Amino acid sequence: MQRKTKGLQHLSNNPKIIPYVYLSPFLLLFLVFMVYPIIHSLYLSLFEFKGIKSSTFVGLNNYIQLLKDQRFKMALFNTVYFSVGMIFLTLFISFPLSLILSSNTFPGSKAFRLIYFLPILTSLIVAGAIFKLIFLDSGAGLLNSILAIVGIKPKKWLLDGFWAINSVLIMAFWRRMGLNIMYFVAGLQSLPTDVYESAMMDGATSWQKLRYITIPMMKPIISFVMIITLIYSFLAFDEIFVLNPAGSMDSPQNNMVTMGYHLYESGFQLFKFGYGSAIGFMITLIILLFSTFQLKLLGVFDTDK
Amino acid sequence: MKYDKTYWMKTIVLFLLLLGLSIMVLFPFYWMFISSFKDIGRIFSTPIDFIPKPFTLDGYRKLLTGTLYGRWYLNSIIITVLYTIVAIFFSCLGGVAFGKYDFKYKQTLFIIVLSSMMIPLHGILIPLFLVLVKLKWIDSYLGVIIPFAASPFGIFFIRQYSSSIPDELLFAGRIDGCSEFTLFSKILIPLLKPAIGVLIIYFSMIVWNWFIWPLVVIRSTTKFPLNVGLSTFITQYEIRYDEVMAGAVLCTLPLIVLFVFMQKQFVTGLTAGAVKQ
Repeated sequence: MQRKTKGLQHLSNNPKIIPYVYLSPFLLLFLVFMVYPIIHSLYLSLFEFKGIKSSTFVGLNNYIQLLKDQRFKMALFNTVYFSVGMIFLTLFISFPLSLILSSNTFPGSKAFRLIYFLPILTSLIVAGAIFKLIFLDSGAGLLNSILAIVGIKPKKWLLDGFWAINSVLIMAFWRRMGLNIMYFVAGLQSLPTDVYESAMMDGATSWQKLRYITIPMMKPIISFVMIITLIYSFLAFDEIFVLNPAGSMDSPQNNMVTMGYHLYESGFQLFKFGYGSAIGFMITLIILLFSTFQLKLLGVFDTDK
Repeated sequence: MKYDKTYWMKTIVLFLLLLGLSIMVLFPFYWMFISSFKDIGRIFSTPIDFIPKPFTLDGYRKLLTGTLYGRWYLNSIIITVLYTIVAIFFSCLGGVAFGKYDFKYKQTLFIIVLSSMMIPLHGILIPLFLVLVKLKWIDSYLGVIIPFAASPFGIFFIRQYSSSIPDELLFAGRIDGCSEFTLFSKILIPLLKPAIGVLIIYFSMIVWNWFIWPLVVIRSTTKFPLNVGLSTFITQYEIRYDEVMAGAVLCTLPLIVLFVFMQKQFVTGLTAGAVKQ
């Protein structure tokens, strides 16, 4: 008996064994809560469910239905629109701002950076609540009241085919602008200064410096930020959940469905687990594609690391 | 003077531009804050009230006495603290394994950890829910916490940090007869404190604001975390905005206070956490 515990102690004290012991919680949870669900989602997507228990095998029917479904098309369109919009705003607002804010001599640059960073601290539910108040459909909504002063007629922001998804975009960008500025600034501040010095000696203008030095050297970080923005946008769900007018998924006016939201409503409001899993599996594939590209950029697949 | 007139002109114009933008960025915070002190009848007043008049704490009073908000707040604190403790422990174990030990399949296992960061929760939401149904973890905090308790980002972060700790410390400890776990708890953990600080902030913030997963797992209203509870106020037809805004203020306040004191940890955590956002 004593020898046995000693043996165990010896085993748990062996530097060759111990890393596996340390990694066992991760590996266990990874297998049960990630690998199995991924495989299971592929399996589920081949069935049609009647309640949680009973299901019939339908082959690729869910995927075929997906391609025919008007609502899925709208979700896909909105998701792509939202992602492209986020990337566009990041490149043309966050990046130029970080060019100014990365200079420590610019007055108040650090304070500005912190102020722009604050919105990411709000939960999307809180942000949604505030923006709902601002975008409120009736004439009494804040934005509508302000526009009324200038003589613009009140709009139904969250119901309008064009403005619904753009309202989501505005809120999402408000939350993430400062975070992206932080990445850009960190990148800009790590650029070598000597290149700029020699460019200055050659009499380069600021535009030339930006065009021929800063942007090429920042390329990896710009692509990195673009990809994380893309991943984030593709998964957008909370935003839609809160800004959706009265949470009405069935209403024909509901124009802001995205892939993430469509998955949730199919799975957890209509209990179409098979159909939902088909959407989920497609989301996983798309994100895996983006992420592989992202990790490549970060160089984590380099063998010497 | 080193700089000429056009430089100063440019700086002033840019400064004013950034100032204007700051006001736009801060405005939603301001609006949340003052609306929480308004009488419900005055929230949508024309002309717009930029200062609450009359000033009232009605929203807060109704929120804390007439709804489950206080309960949800407590639930969120419990979930956040439990998750953070468990996740930090597993992150340190895994991170130290990669950062301080050599073993067979290390490279492969590390790639597995990194790849697991790429799996979006949304993609596996339904099958994961069904796993919890089988485990009978629906409507329990175990179900919220355990599936994500081994954070690949945490492991990655601790691995980066721990690889800079000199191996000699571990050798010396082994010669003195320390067991491997004593090395972990007595030598490595104290040295990892700065990294753990960043992770505490990072995990607390993510879990405090977490929405979709507890929304799916928790069924009974008394067990809701804060954000799930708050969302039930917003998706109704009649939204009582005074209470909602009071709830929003109280929900955001702890993070703002933490941020004021620990900016560096927030920024490090969130920028390094980019890999998983």
